[in-house]
Amino acid sequence: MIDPKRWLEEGGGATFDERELLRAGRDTRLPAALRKRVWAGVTTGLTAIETAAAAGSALQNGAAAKGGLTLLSSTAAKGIAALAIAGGVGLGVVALRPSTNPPPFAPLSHAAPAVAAASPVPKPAEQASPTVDLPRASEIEARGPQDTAKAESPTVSGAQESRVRAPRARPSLRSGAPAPASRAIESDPSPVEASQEARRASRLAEESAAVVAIRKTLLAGEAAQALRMLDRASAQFPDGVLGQEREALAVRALVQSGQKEAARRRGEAFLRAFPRSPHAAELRALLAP
Amino acid sequence: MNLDRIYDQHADFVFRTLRTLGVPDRDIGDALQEVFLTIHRALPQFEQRSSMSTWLFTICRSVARDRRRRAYRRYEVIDGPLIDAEPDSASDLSTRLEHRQKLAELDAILADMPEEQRLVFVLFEIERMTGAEISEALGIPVGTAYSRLRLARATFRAAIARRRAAERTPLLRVGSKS
Repeated sequence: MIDPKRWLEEGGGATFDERELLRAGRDTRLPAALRKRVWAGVTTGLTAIETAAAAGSALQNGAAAKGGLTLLSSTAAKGIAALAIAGGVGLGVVALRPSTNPPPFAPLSHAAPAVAAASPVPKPAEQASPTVDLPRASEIEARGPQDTAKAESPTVSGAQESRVRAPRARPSLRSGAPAPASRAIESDPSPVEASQEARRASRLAEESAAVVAIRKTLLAGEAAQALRMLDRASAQFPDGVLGQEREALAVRALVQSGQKEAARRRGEAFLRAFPRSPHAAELRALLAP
Repeated sequence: MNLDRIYDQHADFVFRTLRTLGVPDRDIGDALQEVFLTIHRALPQFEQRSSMSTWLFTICRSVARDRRRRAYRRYEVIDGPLIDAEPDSASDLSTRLEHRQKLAELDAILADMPEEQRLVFVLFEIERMTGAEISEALGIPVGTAYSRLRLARATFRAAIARRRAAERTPLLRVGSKS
């Protein structure tokens, strides 16, 4: 069957008014500010999903950090939990809300979609996802009663069987609206605890931004610059939550800059420490002869 | 095709589609994020048997439906400012205002249209999808898509005619009430 002519085509048969309204619809673009904010949220969300997956995997396996990589220590888990609490959302749905600044992006309100799924169009809320217990309640400051609820968590590359328990998602900020300070933590923590949470969230926001920038630099083909940025990030966030992400990026950058031997050494150390990392398959492929 | 590229090339389409599917402007940022995280997850399974637009539409629909199921709002025209979806950031103020006004009218007319007509109409007339693509995206025969398009065009035309008639005779209407 042949499609009829569209109304906006020459001779489509629409009136002037009809064409004008359709053009308004066709010319509608995602506003630039929202475009940036959503993309920042997506990239940071992916990083958190990967990190949460790695943390879950290591906690489950009892895999202590080895070879100088300390990402999967309880610091990382606490950092993720703090992030989730401060943002009021489930893991994998990153909400960074420094108390004094507007959020860099609009957080998702609900369950994070899984990283890998069997069906082409998965339903995020219906994903069966694996679990691991994050730190006990006593380890997480300012954890309110509502935070004991289990949130949907990201599925990780199919094989892992870990679930992260995290605070249930709460309604998100409206697009573009600054975070009201009173919403950042709804469990009435003490001012000291609230400020610690805010500092942690702020620190993690900075670290995430650094990782996103490094990833972009690498994607732009500037491996040497990415390596310099990675060095700076290591110094700036020595016990950062996203250490594993940074280490994987470093291996990629070394490969990309032609330093194959260094990449191999670093990659192998990484794989020994984190054989079940979400980055493992990619690094193995990268290092394959 | 990686996520960056899909975002660059299709974020506008996803944005418009979510609005067409009734996601309120105030929730659009969250929904966009959810769509692109879902795309990231589902990308390995995308085998290009369908067009990218068709595939993205099905994801948008799934996300919008899921959000609605979670007690989100039905298709409605939101009070308050619309998202400033200007056609071009370099546009002057009057062009932007005019665009906003037209978009508000388009939204209002589409909001009154039955969903099955609205989707076919928007996908065909605004998103320039083919009948075959619409058929696949909505899971309906091509003939059904065409007949819905005919109905939607008639509905759209009648709605504009009603609006223009009302604009021409405001005094008469006021007078007839008194």
